[in-house]
Amino acid sequence: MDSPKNEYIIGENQHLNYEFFIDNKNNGTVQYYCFYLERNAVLRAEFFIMHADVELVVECVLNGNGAHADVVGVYGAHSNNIVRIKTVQHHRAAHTHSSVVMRGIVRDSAQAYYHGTICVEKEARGSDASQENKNMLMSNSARVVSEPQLEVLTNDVRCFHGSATSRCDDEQLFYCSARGMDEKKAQHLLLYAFFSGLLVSENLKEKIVELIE
Amino acid sequence: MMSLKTAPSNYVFRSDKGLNKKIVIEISEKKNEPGWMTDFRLKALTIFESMPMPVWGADLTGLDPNDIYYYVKPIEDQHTQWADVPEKIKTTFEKLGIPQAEQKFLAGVGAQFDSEVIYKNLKKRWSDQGVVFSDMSSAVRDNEALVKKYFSTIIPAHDNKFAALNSAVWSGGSFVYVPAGVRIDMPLQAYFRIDSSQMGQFERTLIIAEPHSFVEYVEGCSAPIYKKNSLHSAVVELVALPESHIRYTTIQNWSNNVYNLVTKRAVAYNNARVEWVDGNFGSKVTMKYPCIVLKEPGAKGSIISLAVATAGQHQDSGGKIIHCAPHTTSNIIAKSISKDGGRSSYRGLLKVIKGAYGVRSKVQCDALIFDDISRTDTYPTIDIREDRVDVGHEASISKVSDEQLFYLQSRGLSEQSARALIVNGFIDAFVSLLPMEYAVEINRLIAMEMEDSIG
Amino acid sequence: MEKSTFLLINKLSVSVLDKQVLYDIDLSINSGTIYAIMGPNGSGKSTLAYALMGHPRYAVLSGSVLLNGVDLATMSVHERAKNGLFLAFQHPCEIPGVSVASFLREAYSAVTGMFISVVDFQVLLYERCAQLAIDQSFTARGLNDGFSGGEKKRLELLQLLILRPSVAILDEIDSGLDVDSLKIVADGIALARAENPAMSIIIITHYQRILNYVIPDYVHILCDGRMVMSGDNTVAHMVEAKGYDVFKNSTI
Repeated sequence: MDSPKNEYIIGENQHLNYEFFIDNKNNGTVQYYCFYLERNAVLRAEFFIMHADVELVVECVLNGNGAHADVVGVYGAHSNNIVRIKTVQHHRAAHTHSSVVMRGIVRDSAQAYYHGTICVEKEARGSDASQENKNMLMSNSARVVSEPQLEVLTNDVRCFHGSATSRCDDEQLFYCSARGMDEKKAQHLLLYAFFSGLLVSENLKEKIVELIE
Repeated sequence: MMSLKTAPSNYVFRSDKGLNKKIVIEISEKKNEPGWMTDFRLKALTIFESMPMPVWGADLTGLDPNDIYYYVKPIEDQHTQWADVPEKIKTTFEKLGIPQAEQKFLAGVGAQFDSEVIYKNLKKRWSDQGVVFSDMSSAVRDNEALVKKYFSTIIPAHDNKFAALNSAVWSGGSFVYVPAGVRIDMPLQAYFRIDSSQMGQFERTLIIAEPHSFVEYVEGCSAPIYKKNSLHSAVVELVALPESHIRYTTIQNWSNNVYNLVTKRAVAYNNARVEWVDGNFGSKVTMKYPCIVLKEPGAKGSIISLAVATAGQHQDSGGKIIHCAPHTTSNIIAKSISKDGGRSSYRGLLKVIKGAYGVRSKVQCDALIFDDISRTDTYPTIDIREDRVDVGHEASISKVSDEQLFYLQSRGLSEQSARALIVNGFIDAFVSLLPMEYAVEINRLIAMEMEDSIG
Repeated sequence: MEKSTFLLINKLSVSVLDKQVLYDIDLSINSGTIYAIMGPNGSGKSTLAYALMGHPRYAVLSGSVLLNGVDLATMSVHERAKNGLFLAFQHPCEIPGVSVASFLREAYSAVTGMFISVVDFQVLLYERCAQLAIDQSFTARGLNDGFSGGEKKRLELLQLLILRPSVAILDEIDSGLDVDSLKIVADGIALARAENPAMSIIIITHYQRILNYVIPDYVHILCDGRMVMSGDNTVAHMVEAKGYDVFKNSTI
């Protein structure tokens, strides 16, 4: 299937709030988003992948000084889904900021692949970039491959990336059971906690209920 | 006191350039090897020839496999006269406080070391305990059954092109065998083997630790090793049997013309513990990813590495840990410093196979980049196929903080000293694991690097 | 008030990670009664609490526990809570991302089996906060996330008040508290008792201090996993005066 590249140029001092919901209607596609940020441009992008076989590519190119991009992704993969997510944070100007947070639940025999790159060029002094990928594995057959990458060509920068994969914490589950919640309820509570505070979009926040339950 | 003997002026063998069957057979014959080893080498040669150069990792386009001497008696490979050793290298030795005699040995002057007294005593102590510590070629002859049991079982010739190369032309390297229950109380140093071939291009090392034993092995030196030949491709295999503990420490500082491509892997059995402590300075290109396979429950692995890349250098290093069994734990701490145009890349793999539940693993990569002509990269892969695990990876990149520099200078330190102090703090996790003499050398080396710093 | 045995512990032996920690514990917990379980560090006090609640790391080697006549071993952790067992944890875990309010509302629905709207629950919650001198903003914070020791204890108490259990086990609810905080905790316990006189309380503590405020009817001393002494409150005073060494070699 031919999947076009969605390109957005965010002009000087402009703000863009972008949200996109992907479900199995998009199965088999590559959803490609590329955001170019000019001087002092601000981007907030939120993506939600609900149980789909899909590839999502999100690229942020910070071309102008002071540009600021925050990208958040929530994904859920179940049965035999294969979800691939690729993000690129490309800093080409000074005092730019970017952050990418991708969190997902992987159930049954689903697989999630995350590949994230932060590339900071020489001109991007005084910039900071962060990237986080967290996965909750809910079954023995689930699989996660996470490749967070950093390429930095200047010293005047702060970069951080983190990736964590686990299942629900046993002590937290016990605490919830000790307060009367059965296993399912306790897990749901912890999964809500996992996604808590990530999304701003009300539309997308509603979908979290469906993702978890 | 150590005394120097001049090198025996024997017939010196050196192969023609390039690699072929004839050369491989000659190497084997010179070493009086049993038939199985000769066969092994030849098979490896075929594999080497059939494999393409790797396209990932560092840039190896400057390396022409046909423009290399594949077997050079180590004496030839080193400078024959102390006077010939480059001034910069001699000065480095002095600054690092390495005694005269050692300097010459390490600079590869064709002088055999005869620290008979010290070495003999150590040798006796070890052999009384049943410990075998010799060069690899002697081991093939004197401990054939043991070597044959494990040789190349961890890194087969087809593992990668350079492992195949090493398998065909290996020469030098150590063989260590520690019997069950024996805990060797001082680190074994490659230096002790008193065999100048240890500085060879294609070392092959095998360490076997029987159950409940402990051995710490240290190789290399912080002083720059000047080599005429530009390709070094070593293979190191570690076998950590149940409840044993192996710590393998390497400090390497090859000269700026060297391509240093190393394959190092350990297998840890039930409740065994393996530690790779890896310090990479110098060389033109280093590609080295110590690997630990946690094969049975309770095994523990850790990799602590430090890479310093300065002008014209690319350190492409990291670590690989594969969890094959439940209740295994691992951690990787990788520190790197890039300055004056150097490039330091972390490449790692953390893999948990299905069924390996109860795994805990933490990877931490921190990079310090000094200026904007240098480069640092991090390329980790985290591949998890089991849900009952707790795996985390974090990386950070930063520069030496201006506030810290200012504070230290306001307390009387020069900028250089301040930088050195901060950098020492940064690499402390690594240095604290080194035997004291090495720790002192590393600290001095860093101090020197700070002095040479541009800005 | 009729006193019935709500919790009957019979020759209970428990191990943790293959190491036996409790040996043949016999304990009868009657409704409306306050019990103190005291002992030195490592005596097994918290183990008893965790084993009763059903923590997976604690294995019952032998013996039995009946909760209102029903064998505890047949109940999963959350069923024990639904059947009236409550444990105030010594070190409650943090669950950032879940607010105190939403957690408590979930727990309330789970334990009482009753649905309550967010608004109604908030009214209930704020009332309880006021009773424990807890600021309302507390309820919007992540569960135990960044809480001081005193705040964590107060949250456990808040839960005690809201969930109204039949048997409340308070695991070292006094540890790390200053005198003022201790008084608030003691008042909270008194309030819970006043509202629910049939509730049994088991106070697990190392020190006698809290027992000045919450006066136990019975005191049991645990040493090295065994019950070495039982009696009334004078036993607690004896511990304060002489320490635990006096019990080291004695058995009941």
